[in-house]
Amino acid sequence: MTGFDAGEVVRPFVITAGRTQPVRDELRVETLVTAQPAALAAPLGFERHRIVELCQYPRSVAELAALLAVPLGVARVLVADLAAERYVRVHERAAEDVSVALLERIRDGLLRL
Amino acid sequence: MHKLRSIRHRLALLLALPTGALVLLGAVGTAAQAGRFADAARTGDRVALVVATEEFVHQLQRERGLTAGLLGGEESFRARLGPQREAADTARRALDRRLAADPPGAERVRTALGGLSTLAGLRGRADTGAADRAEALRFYTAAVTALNAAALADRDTTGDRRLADALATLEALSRATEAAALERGTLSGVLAAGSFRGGDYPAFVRITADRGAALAEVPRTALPERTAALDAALRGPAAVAAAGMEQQALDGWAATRLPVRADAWWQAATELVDGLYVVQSQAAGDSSARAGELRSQALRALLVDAGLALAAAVGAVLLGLLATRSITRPVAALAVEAEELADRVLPEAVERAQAGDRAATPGSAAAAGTAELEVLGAALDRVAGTAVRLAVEQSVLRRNTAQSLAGLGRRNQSLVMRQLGLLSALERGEQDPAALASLFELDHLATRMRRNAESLLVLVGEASPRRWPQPVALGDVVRSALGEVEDYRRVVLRQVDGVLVDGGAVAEVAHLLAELIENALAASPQDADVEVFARLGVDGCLIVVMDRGPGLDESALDRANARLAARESFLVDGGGQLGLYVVGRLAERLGAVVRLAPAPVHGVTATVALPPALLADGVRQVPAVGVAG
Repeated sequence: MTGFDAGEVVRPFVITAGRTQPVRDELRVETLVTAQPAALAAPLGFERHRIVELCQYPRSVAELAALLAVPLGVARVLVADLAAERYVRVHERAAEDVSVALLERIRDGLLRL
Repeated sequence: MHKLRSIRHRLALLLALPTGALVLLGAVGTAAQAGRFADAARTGDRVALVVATEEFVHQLQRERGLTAGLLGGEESFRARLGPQREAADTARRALDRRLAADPPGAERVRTALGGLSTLAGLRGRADTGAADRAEALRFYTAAVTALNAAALADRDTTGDRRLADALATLEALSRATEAAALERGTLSGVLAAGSFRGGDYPAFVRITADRGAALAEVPRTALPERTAALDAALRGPAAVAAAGMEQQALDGWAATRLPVRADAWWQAATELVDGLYVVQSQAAGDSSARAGELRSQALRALLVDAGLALAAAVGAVLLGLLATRSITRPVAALAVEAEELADRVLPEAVERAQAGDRAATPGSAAAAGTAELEVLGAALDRVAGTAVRLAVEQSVLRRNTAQSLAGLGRRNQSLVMRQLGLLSALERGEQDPAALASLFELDHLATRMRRNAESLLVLVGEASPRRWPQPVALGDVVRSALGEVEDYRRVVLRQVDGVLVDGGAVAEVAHLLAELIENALAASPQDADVEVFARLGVDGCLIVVMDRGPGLDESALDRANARLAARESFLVDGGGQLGLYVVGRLAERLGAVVRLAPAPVHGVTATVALPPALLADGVRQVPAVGVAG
């Protein structure tokens, strides 16, 4: 489903039904997200389920966008939705205690976009 | 009148007149022959009557002679007279039997027999000697003469020369016999009396003269053997003796006692008369034989004529049937060939021509017999040839059109794909939600344009170049389809099993679903959802697209399903609903089965059965509910 000649199977606008405005604004590329423990069993579909799977340990929004192969704007809408529904937790204090490893992952994610 | 519409009936009508005329002519000819046969039969009966009459006359003559002798005084005749009367009566009864059949001339003979009504009285008087000899002679002679005249009058009815001759001979002989018999009777009486008395002598001389004249007539008409027999009878010893006695009687006309014994004369004269009668019977036999011959000839001619007439009629009917068959058979054969040409040969040739075989020609239909039918067969061939040429031209035209359309579609598609690639790149890095929303709008439009370009490719029979190397989840395939319809937000994915679709079929399955979903959206009211289910079954995967529209009635559903199953090119079909046609073509290529049916409550359900070959073995994914959020 990645950048192949034929392109994406699912066009990105379908994933959010055309929405581009996240329900919360404070999500930045480096904001870390962690899934709530019960979220794996929740009835979530497609990318939302994948995000919960990927966020078993903290992931940045940029990383998620790269792994899901969706535009950053789409990843922000999805994460904001999941956070609003309390399936994921958004780490507000991202800037304070970032590790080198986390910074590298964010950089990689941004490069892959 | 419709009965005459077939060639067979018209030909039958045409041949009926000459055949009828032929039959009529044959019938007329046969009737004429039948008339001749009846004539011949009547002649035969008449001759038989003559023979019977002559037999009776012969017996009467003998009785006359004996009676004359008895009345002349010759008592020795009395003993012979009884049996002779018996013989005469027997002959009379035979004649009466013959007359009962009422043959021609019977009336005259009956009239002549009337003169014999007093025979019994005369016999009685002869026995007692009360009758006069001359009176008895007159009585018998009158009866004999009348009978002879009645029997032999009007003798040539058939116009046959030989029969006329035989009858003339018979008449002459009967006159000669009568004269001889009369002579015998007369002279018997004279001899019994001893001498000529009164008119005896002149009568006797006249009788001898009559006999001579009658005998002289015989050779004119008689057959040589009859003439010879007559000569033999006249030269026999009895005849010579009789002639001698006769001469003695003539010579002694004035003598008071003739030197001839009555019984000797009777003996000799009877032998002569019998001899003459034998010849006369032979002549009668000749007449009967000739009449019989004529009758059998007429019968043969009648049979031949009837046979010929029948054969002609049968022949005419047979010829008519043959002629009819000779026309109807080739026509029927030609009709069969024409039907074969129309139903099988021509369609096959057109099919071959459309498949690219330019040399395709239909088989020849010219198998007919007559010149006109050959012309007709040749015309049919030309029709077939023209049809094939047109089919070839049309298929070339269609191929060229399809190629042009395919080229256009491919260029169009590649442009749109490049556009989408560019949009993807822009969307990926876009931070501003408003700008991303605009990009999404563009993306949606471009995605639908790509579907249009691909529809064009499907219509001209080209495959989509979009293929993925790895299997794709069915949920993603459905969502891919959603991107290709306008109002995709109204579509709800109710239940989508985690099935993987073969990467090569993804684009076409998505396209097929997009067409069905777009139809469903168009049919549903604005505030109603379209639901999509996808379930993995034993035999492949079943995808259901259900709308909440007013639904279609049965005939409309039938028409839509027919369009789904259509094998004709859309260029021929005149694309009213291209979407369904595209679905049909895609389903055909994928090996999927698409059916439209009424939905449980209202609306239409489109069911797509994907064959197992299109599904990849893979991990079952978690069931997905809803599109987003």
